[in-house]
Amino acid sequence: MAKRMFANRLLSKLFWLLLLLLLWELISRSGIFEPTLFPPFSKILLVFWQELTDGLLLEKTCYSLQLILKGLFLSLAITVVLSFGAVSSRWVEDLVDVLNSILHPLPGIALLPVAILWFGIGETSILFIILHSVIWPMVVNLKTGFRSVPSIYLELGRSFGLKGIRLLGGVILPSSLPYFISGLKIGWARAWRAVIAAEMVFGAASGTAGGLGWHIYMTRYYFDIAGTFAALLAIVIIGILVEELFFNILEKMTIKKWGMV
Amino acid sequence: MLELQEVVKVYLRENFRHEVLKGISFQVSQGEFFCILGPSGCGKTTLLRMIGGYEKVSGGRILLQGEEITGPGPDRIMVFQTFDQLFAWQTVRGNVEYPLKINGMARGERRERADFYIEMVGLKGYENYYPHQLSGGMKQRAALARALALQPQILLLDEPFASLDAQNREILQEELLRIWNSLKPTVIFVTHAVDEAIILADRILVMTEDGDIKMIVENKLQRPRRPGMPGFARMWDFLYEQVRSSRWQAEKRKN
Ligand SMILES: Nc1ncnc2c1ncn2[C@@H]1O[C@H](COP(=O)(O)OP(=O)(O)OP(=O)(O)O)[C@@H](O)[C@H]1O
Ligand SMILES: [Mg+2]
Repeated sequence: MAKRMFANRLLSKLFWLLLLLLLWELISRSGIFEPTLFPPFSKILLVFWQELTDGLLLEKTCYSLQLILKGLFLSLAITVVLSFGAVSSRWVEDLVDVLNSILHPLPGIALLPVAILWFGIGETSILFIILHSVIWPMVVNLKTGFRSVPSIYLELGRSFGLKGIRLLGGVILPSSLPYFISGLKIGWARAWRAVIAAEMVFGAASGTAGGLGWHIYMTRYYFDIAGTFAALLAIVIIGILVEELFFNILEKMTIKKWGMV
Repeated sequence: MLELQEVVKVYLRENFRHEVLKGISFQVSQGEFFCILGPSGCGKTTLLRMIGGYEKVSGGRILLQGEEITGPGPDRIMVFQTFDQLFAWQTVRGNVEYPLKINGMARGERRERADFYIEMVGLKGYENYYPHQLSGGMKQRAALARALALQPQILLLDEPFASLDAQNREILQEELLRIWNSLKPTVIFVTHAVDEAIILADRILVMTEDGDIKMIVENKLQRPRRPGMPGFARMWDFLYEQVRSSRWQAEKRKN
């Protein structure tokens, strides 16, 4: 019953998707708008396929993704340390609160000029922006997660002989995994946006090899609008893959399997 | 041997001192089954938590084999009243094995030991279930298996069967006695059910409602004990009266 309903909803969503694409195609072909500015979807798809098979799009995507992965791993480590410090000590918590109040409202991209001055144009600056965009929202989530660990778990952990880092790894982190994952989702989304934005600004600043953001910038520069849209399509597809596939599988393998949600 | 000397516990609420336990002294010898019986709110859990080392004493001392207890440790394991004391991210076997792993036991040995105690509490076949797939009674069994597997000197049981239905409670009481008979750990069992205390304990400590010792009763009834057996009803009446009168004595002291 529930399965059939799910299948029906999927069908209706697919219907809307196809209708929207068809509309796009028709409007583009009707010639109301300048076709180079508003290329038909079939052409975008073709360019997308070409760039995918000749490796260009894949290379750009991989470049951006590896940046994000590096940034996320670094952010995760820093977030765990900050959050653990905050729930262990009043002092550290006040520090984290102050940092969070100052830095959270600052959009990462606004820091880019400073980052370029400090770290030059290149990976380090982008990593800096990713860290800034990801750490603060994740700290808020993980702090809540750590606070929600039942005291009974902590007492049991201590009974078994766990202290400090081992208590963190053995009891506190697994117990706050639902918060950890939702923090990671937010972190991923913000990192993705930060990278694309940063790469586009770099595109304006210099000609270094870059990722998808840089690619979008360049295609517009050369007036290859179908190429721009193809890159946007790549961004949408990766977003769907990560959110619907990666996170869903991750949750199914962990917190859903353990009845923690 | 476990020895409590004039143990006092005070909680501070705003600017008001709430003396929950008022100088508790008793001894429990190795291998004894000791019950603490008392009305709700008299400080039974607090007492057990201090023995477990989760809570500091405000006065007096708690000695285990002559050494003062300073914090929690694997020699005293508590089984709580709540169903949610198993780690949700570990299977039944994982939960039982985990404390052994922490204490450095080799993989094969701890697996063997875990399976032994899982079978002992009657959970054979459920080794790979996660806690959320178990019933309340099964969760309590698993928690008991986890505590037993550590082979602690003292087993601290805080109304572990209180939220079970009568039938499951009886079965688990029997099983606990069987396990106690074969392993002979020291058991300190908190309950507010008079019949449960009679069925289980060698000695029963009756608490007053305001956190003092009313009396310690030796339970000489022959095991196994059944509610219908000779002497059971008299013991029950006696203890019930003690618990009840301890309640109105506390009332009187308050006024
Ligand atoms: N952390 C705490 N802070 C302040 N007061 C507390 C705290 N823990 C317990 N108390 C108080 O201590 C008294 C005894 O509580 P305790 O939980 O030990 O009772 P109990 O005998 O276990 O009751 P029950 O049979 O209902 O479980 C209660 O009046 C309670 O309000
Ligand atoms: Mg209690």
